[in-house]
Amino acid sequence: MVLRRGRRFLPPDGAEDVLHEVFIRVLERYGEFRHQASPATWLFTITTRLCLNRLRDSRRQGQLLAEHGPTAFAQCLESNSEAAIFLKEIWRFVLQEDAELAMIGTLYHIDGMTTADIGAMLGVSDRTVANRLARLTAIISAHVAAGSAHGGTP
Amino acid sequence: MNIGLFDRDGHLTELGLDRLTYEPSTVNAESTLVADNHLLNCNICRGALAQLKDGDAAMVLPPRKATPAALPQPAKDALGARVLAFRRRLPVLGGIVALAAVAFFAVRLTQTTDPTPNEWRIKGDNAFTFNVYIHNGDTPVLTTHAAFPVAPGDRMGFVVTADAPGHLLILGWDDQGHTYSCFPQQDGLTAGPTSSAPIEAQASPWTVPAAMAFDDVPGREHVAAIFCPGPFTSADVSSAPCEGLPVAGQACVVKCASFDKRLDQGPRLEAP
Repeated sequence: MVLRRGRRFLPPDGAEDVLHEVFIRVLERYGEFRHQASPATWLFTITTRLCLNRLRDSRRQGQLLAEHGPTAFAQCLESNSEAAIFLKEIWRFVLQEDAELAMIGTLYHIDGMTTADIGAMLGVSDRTVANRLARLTAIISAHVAAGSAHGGTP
Repeated sequence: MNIGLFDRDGHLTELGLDRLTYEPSTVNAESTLVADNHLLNCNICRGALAQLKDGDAAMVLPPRKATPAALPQPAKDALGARVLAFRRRLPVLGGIVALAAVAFFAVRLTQTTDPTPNEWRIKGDNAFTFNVYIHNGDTPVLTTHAAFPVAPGDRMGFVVTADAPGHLLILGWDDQGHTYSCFPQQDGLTAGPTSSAPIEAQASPWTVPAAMAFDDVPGREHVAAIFCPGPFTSADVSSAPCEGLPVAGQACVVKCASFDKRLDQGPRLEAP
């Protein structure tokens, strides 16, 4: 489950690294696990966060996103234009600027989760998630507008 | 913290599939039922689940061969000294060990003595469970194997658990004597008996990838799930599978259900 989730974001070797990191994190932080979520939910959250951190910190980040990210989420790219813009154009920027927003955007646009579920998973209110998503939508809209102003694809 | 299983489009999320597969005990019965019913009708989610299981199967490593460990000489010496010390105590320990061995084999013999030693057995009363659920346009209803009213067009799906791998055949028949195979389903052009399908042990409820819609033939509908250790065909099944041995020569488990078809209600679902 962890490896499969890692492979959605990273190439196989990166996913295996994340697999090890996840379980090191689990061993280190097991005391913090309050059993409010199921173990799978906890692992899912840690894995997603570590994958995003790795994408953010990688020197090959652009290459990883260009080569792996869009293909891993091809279904998402086809099905939802806002998600496609987020993934193709905004993800990289948001990852650098605001890791939490990137996490929320990923869970919302890529995984299709509801705001209530994202809030429950991240331990914030539904309202907070909605506000953060509104900010993300504003960034995407600005990006689209900027692309249109330049007469090309954003 | 209660996280749903479905995404905004009504499909099972990646996390939802993981939870249903790896930690079904954290998902309540109602959610499991809704998810099972969704899987029955959604090719996308069924594909995602199959992909998940295929991926897991590909990750299973072959067992590693045991290789003798090469101990450094000091460790060998130390081990040798300990073995010698143990051997010196053997006469004292021997009596205790012999007594324990006798007691152990006595208990084992008591437990395993069986009048039919070749009989295929799986442990526990719930070695094979079979549930039918009916989807009539509202909420899917899990039946309790009692007579249950259904209408033409209602669909039935099946959920099973099995403590051991085996072969499964689900047969249906109506009061008019028309018999059909619910699982595995046969191509309409294929003649001849239906062969059972091999299934793995299913510790958590497994939704059988087949569903049937009730027709408008008057009378009751009956369904029997026959689970055997070896392969068999519908031709091997006795004419009254719910009574006695369903398949001669095999220690099979059979679970049956019947439904009262109410023709006055008309179709409640569109044709699949």
